[in-house]
Amino acid sequence: MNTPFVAPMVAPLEPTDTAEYVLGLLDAGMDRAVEARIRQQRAARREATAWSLAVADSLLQQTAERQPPGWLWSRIERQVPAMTVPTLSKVEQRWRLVAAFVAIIGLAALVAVVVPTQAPMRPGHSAMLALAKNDTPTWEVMANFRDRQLEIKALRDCAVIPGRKPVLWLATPEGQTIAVGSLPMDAGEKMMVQPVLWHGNMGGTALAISLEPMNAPIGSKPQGPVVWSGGWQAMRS
Amino acid sequence: MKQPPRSSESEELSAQATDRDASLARWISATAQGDHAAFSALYQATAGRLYGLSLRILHEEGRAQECVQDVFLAVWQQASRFDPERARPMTWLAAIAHHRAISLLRRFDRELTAPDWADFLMQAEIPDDAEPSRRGQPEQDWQLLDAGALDRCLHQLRAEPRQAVQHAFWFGQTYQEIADELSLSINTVKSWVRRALAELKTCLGLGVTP
Repeated sequence: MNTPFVAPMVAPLEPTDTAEYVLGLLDAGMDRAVEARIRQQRAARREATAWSLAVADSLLQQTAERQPPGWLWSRIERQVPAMTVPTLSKVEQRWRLVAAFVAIIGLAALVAVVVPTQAPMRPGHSAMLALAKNDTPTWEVMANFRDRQLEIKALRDCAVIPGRKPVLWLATPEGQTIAVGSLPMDAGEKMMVQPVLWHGNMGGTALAISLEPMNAPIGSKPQGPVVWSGGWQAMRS
Repeated sequence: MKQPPRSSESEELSAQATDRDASLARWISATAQGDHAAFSALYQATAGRLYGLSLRILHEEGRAQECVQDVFLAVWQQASRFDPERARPMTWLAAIAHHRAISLLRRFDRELTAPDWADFLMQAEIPDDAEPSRRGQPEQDWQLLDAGALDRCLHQLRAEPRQAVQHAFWFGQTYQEIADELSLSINTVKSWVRRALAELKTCLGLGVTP
């Protein structure tokens, strides 16, 4: 006999649960339970919004301004997607397209004539990266320490658990963690990166790969599991 | 020294605040279109206040930097959701920062991340059971629930519960931390804070949660 489906009971919120959620006063389990309920109940959602805005406004009145370090903006800027071009009129867009097309043709012809075999980078060090220790390498990273430049190439197609993306990190000997970015996923795909925060003893920098949540921004240190770590090897000239 | 009349001083301050809000709202709107310069201007104008707020709660430079970074990445993603009719721009940014700071401080694995919260704050709707006369009308103006309203209601509380709840509001402290700070039992603090929150809720007109 089939058991009839019974919708799970959603316990009503206590009068102060929503405010306690906003203020972080609940323990972890209760916090998750109340969060789930305020997502389901429109009145609770409205109340959470009102508390959040009121507390934030009150907190602003109590708080002195403090300037964050200058490099923080560079780090944020590096993590936002490519910036879009400011809005242009259709005529301007058309002319810019034509100009860009002509410039590309001209540049391509110039490169073909003048620098037919220009090397993109002169790497001094390399590393083979994998999704697990002792696994077959999935990426090759070449580095030019002088120019603080990295070239990352996917050696084969990469598959990770759903909802996650592989992210490359640099850990300096001074203990600083630098997010390089999401790794390319398709065989043959290449990317060039110049991590702006990378300084000092670059040869002593460790590399690590973590699996970060797909839609979450990359923070200043890994949130997901670190699946691989290793170091650089000097390349023979 | 002769002081200017209080009314003109407050009018001037009010006009400055309106101008500042208008600039911030314009930059948020342009950020939604992918305008890098506007995003940068928004950061320059607000990062100091948000960093101060994050530091006040998190007490660690590294985590406060992470918090501010998460707020601006959330703003980059959700700028199109901002509605100046629902919140002042700085309040919206501070609410995202407060939510993120609390999650980082408690190490909570909240499903409502900073970008989600940025969106969530703009989504509140009139509940189904609202009085018929209020349906179809713009919902209660969110700006009414500002620091002025909350502070007025705070001052109506008895001194001890007010002091306890202010530690939660302004320093992000847990019940245990407030109890330690005030040399009280945790049960007393819980009782005071919950009673204070219930009274504030009534005072703010937030009604009863079903």
